[in-house]
Amino acid sequence: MTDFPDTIPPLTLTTSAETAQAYAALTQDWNPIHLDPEFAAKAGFDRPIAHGTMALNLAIQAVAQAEDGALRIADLDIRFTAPTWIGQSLTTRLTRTDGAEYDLRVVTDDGRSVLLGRARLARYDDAT
Amino acid sequence: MTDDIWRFDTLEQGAVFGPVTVPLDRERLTGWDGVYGPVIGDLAPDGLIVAGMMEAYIRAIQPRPKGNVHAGQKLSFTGAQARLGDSVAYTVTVAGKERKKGRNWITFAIHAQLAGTALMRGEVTAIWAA
Repeated sequence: MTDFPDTIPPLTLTTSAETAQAYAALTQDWNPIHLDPEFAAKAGFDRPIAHGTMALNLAIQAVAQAEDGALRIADLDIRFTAPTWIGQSLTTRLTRTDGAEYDLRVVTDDGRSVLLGRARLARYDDAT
Repeated sequence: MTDDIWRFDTLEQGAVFGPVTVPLDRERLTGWDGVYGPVIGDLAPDGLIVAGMMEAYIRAIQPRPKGNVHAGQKLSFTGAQARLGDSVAYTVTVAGKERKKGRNWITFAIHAQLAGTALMRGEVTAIWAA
C-alpha cells in the first residue's frame, strides 16, 4: 500500500501576454483568441483568453514538483468549466479523496474554477 | 477533402488522422520555459507530451472551423518518458460523435508514441463549431 499526501502543494501561474505567446510557441496554437485583444473583443471577450491546457499542465506540474519529483499523474478526467482571462492568476488545488485518487481543480484569483475533475496519482517507482 | 473545412458531418467516426510528429525541440522547450520555468535534466515533463498532443490535434485536422471549444480532457500516462530532443508521434482518431442540445460533440482519441512505445493516451472532448 503506497501512501499519498492529503494535498499536493498548490502551484500558481500569473498569465500574461508573454505567457500566452510562450504557450502558443509550445503548442503551435496561434489562435488569436489567445493573443490579440482586438480579435478577442470582436469575439465578444473583454480580453484574450488563456489556452485551456495551460491550466491543465499547471496541475500536472504541481504534481511533478511535489515530493521532489517522486509523484506523477497516472490518469485524469477533467472539464474546462470557464475561461481564464489573460492577466489572471491560476492556482492548482489537489485534495486526496481515496487512496491515490484526488479531486482536481484550478481556480482563478477571483475564485472561479476554470478546470474541475479527478486525477489518480502514481509514484515513479510503482508499477501502474 | 483537404480543400474543405472538416465539419461535424464530414468527420466520420473511426477516421484516423496522422501520425503527426512533434519534436521536443528548442522552440517547444523555450515555450515551456516561458510558462512553467526551466526543465531540470533531460527527461521531458509529462506536460510537454500534453502540449504536443494539442499541437498534433490542431495540425492533424485542418482546415477546421473557427470557434471550436475544448470542453473536456482525459489523459492516461503509461509511465514511459521521453527525453528532450526526442520526436513524439501522435495519432488522432474520431472516437465518438453526438449531436446534443444543438451542439456538435466530438470525442477524439489521441495516442502518443515514442519509437513504438506508448507514452500517453488522451481523449479530447470538443464542441465542433460547424
